[in-house]
Amino acid sequence: MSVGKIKNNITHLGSSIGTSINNASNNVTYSVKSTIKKKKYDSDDELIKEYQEDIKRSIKALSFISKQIHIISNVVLPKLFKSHMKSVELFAKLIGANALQFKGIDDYYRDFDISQQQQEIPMIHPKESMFEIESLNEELYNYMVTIDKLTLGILNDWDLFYQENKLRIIEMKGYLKDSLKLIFKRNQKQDQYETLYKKLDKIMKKTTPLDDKEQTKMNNLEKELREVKKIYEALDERTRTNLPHVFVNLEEFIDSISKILFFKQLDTYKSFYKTLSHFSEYYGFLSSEGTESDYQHIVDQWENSMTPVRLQIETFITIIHDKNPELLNEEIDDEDKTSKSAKMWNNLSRKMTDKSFKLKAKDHKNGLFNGHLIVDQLDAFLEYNNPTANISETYLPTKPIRKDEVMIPDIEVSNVVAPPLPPRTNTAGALIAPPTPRIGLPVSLPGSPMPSTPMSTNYSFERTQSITDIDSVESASIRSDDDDSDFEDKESMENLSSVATSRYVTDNAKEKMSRHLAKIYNSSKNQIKESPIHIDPNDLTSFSPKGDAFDRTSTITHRLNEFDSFYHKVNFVESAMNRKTLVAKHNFMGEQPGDLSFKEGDEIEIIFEFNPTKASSDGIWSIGVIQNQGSSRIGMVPSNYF
Amino acid sequence: MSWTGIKKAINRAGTQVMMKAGQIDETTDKQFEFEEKRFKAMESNSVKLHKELKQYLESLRILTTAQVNVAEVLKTFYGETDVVHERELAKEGKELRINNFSDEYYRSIKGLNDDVLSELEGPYNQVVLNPIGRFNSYFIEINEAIKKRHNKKLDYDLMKSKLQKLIEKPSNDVEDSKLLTTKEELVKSEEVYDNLNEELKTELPKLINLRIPFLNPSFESFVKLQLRFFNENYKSLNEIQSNLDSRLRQDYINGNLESRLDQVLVKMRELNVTGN
Repeated sequence: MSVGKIKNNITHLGSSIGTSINNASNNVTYSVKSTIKKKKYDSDDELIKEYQEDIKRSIKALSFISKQIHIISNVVLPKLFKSHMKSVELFAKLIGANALQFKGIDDYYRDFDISQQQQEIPMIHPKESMFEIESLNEELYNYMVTIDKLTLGILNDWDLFYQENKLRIIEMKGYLKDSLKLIFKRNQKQDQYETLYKKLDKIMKKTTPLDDKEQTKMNNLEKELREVKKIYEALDERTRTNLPHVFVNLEEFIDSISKILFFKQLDTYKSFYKTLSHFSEYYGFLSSEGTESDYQHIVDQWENSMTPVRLQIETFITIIHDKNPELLNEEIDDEDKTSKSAKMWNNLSRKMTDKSFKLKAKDHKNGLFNGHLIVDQLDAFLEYNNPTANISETYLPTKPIRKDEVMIPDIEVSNVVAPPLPPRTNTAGALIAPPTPRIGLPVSLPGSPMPSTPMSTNYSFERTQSITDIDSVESASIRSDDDDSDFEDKESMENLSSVATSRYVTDNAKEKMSRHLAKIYNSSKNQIKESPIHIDPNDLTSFSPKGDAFDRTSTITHRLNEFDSFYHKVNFVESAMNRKTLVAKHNFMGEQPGDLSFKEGDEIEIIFEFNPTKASSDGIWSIGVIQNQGSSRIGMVPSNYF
Repeated sequence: MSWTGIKKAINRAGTQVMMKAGQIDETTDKQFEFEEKRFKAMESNSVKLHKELKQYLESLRILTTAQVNVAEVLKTFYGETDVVHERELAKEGKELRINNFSDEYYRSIKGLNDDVLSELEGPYNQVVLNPIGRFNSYFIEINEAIKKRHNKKLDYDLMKSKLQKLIEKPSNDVEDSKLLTTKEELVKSEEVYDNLNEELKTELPKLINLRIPFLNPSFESFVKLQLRFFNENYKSLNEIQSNLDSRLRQDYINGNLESRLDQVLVKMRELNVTGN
């Protein structure tokens, strides 16, 4: 410690003693004065006095905090990093690359080279005889770089933190000082009022009749008293209304600042830890489980690798061994080898530099903010099952979250059971992708322009139906709008249907399979706007209708593709018309390709209703759109779900 | 130092002066000088290292104390620790309930200062400070040996120059015998010097080369100890964080906490306490 520092400390000590003496004497005179005046304290005065003391202490405490943060960010941390860095540098100089260099080493190398030329047997160059471990050099270098980066980051962070909050604390202190001024002014007026009052009282109490002079004096006094009273009352009012607010604000200020400080520290330690752990992991310093080793483990590892070397040095270096043969048996322990005097000096200097500060709030137990922090006990009990619980909204020590407390909100299964889905028979969806293979007689579908053709197998019939039907629905809708622009498309669809009709589904298992696939596909289909495999219908026509051609058209992908283009058209055609928007009452998970999954509460635009005339309590299927920030999903929705 | 020791020292000082003046030729051994210089570099660095590492531990201590100081003040805003009450609770085996953030923060920081740091100290001494201290203690003997060699070299050089003078000057019988004794002494002192010189020349590189396996474990442990230390710090602070509202962390990252401070200041300004 430098002399200057000591001097500093002494002067500081002196000044602090001085101020405390000052304070004490002030207090003494103050109390003496007040007793002389026999000031009547009411409860308000007492409270205000308490506030005043608390504010004074808070100002000091804030100054102390600001100073300590300054010390941490600008003195302690830089010092810590500096000595860290220096240590590593010295390590590097000792065992790293180009270790043990000295001034003029090149002269020796040159001399060696000269002597080497004269000799016949080459000797090892001293440069080569320096044992260096490449990996160790790299390790040290990387460690230095790592620490350097860490240092830069943390120091900048803390400096910024200090700079920002220094200003805030100064500003806060300014406001607190203002509050003190207000209290002071109020007290001054109070005193003035009381002296005037006493004077007036004296005159009034006189038994002799008042002469003119006294009369005017009394009048003047009365006038003055009224004025002072007015001012005093205004100040008193202001004090009483403002001080609690000041304290609430101060509390929030302190609360925020402690939390910021906490997070800052947490971050600092975290970045320290992360950086070191990253480094350690890279160089294999971690224990076998990949965690950092505990102290005992570290000591053991060190002992294992160092002891043989130590013994080697102490045995084979005769210079050392001959003088201190007993060293061999003397193990390196964990004693603090600092000499006693050095220790004392350290302690002393630590005490000098380390100045703690006691706030000494009036209320020892609850501190400054006792009034605001504790909720009403009944409320607290209701809220936390603990009448003394804190009101703090952000700190919840009494409520560690246990596993069983974590509630995953149930998907609101409303008590109302979702109504059964309306029959799909009257929709295009049913036509494109019938839900179940209908076994038995062919059912003639409504709106089907073509008479159903008798089929030899039960399964194949729907396919024909469906494809031709989708055509009819489409063409109908297009025609109804007198829009023939999609003519080409329509034609291709017809082409496609002709391909499809020429094939039969012959395998029931396939249908089952596709239903299973439908389920899987449905689960995520709503994120998919287009089917992943795009089949160009024109291509299909040119494709020779072999076995797999049908396979392709029967896949879910194909159906979805059909749906996609179908919906596209519907959407396009119907866009001009008024759409009604409905709010879903139930959840609906799509069941078949082309269905639109939605949740309760979703708003769905209905763009097309299949035979609305047939609407009944069972509901019908419609085509709905969910608009969602630029993207939209379209699909079949059951109308009775709204 | 004994009487003969003093006499020797005076003699050697004279020799050194004459050597400087160029009256006596100095024996030089480049190889030894090279090794000696390397040794000196090692010595100075190692001694500095020991000091610096001590300083580092001290800095850690100062850091934690400063943190404790701040935390303590922040805590006392919310009341002081009721030591008596705590002791009673501890006696009854009841767990102390901490209901406010500042209190827990202070306790945690204090724990870092009191426990975590002192836990570090023992191992730190054992694997970092004391090994280097031990390594530095070797230097005492080596330095003595180097000094001895230097002295013997001076003796040897003096003998050499004496003999030289005797040979150059015309001789008579008396001096003939002197020449013989000087020759004998020269041989003796050369032997002594050579022995010491050779010993140092073989052993210095040995020690120098052993420094890496000796010091490297300490370096690695230094890193490991720090990792452990900072992890403990991080863990104990992180525990508090788990009690905090998770939104708070987000607020801190977004800078909302700091804007909260600003909001408080705005509110204070709006209060306009002095009424101006």
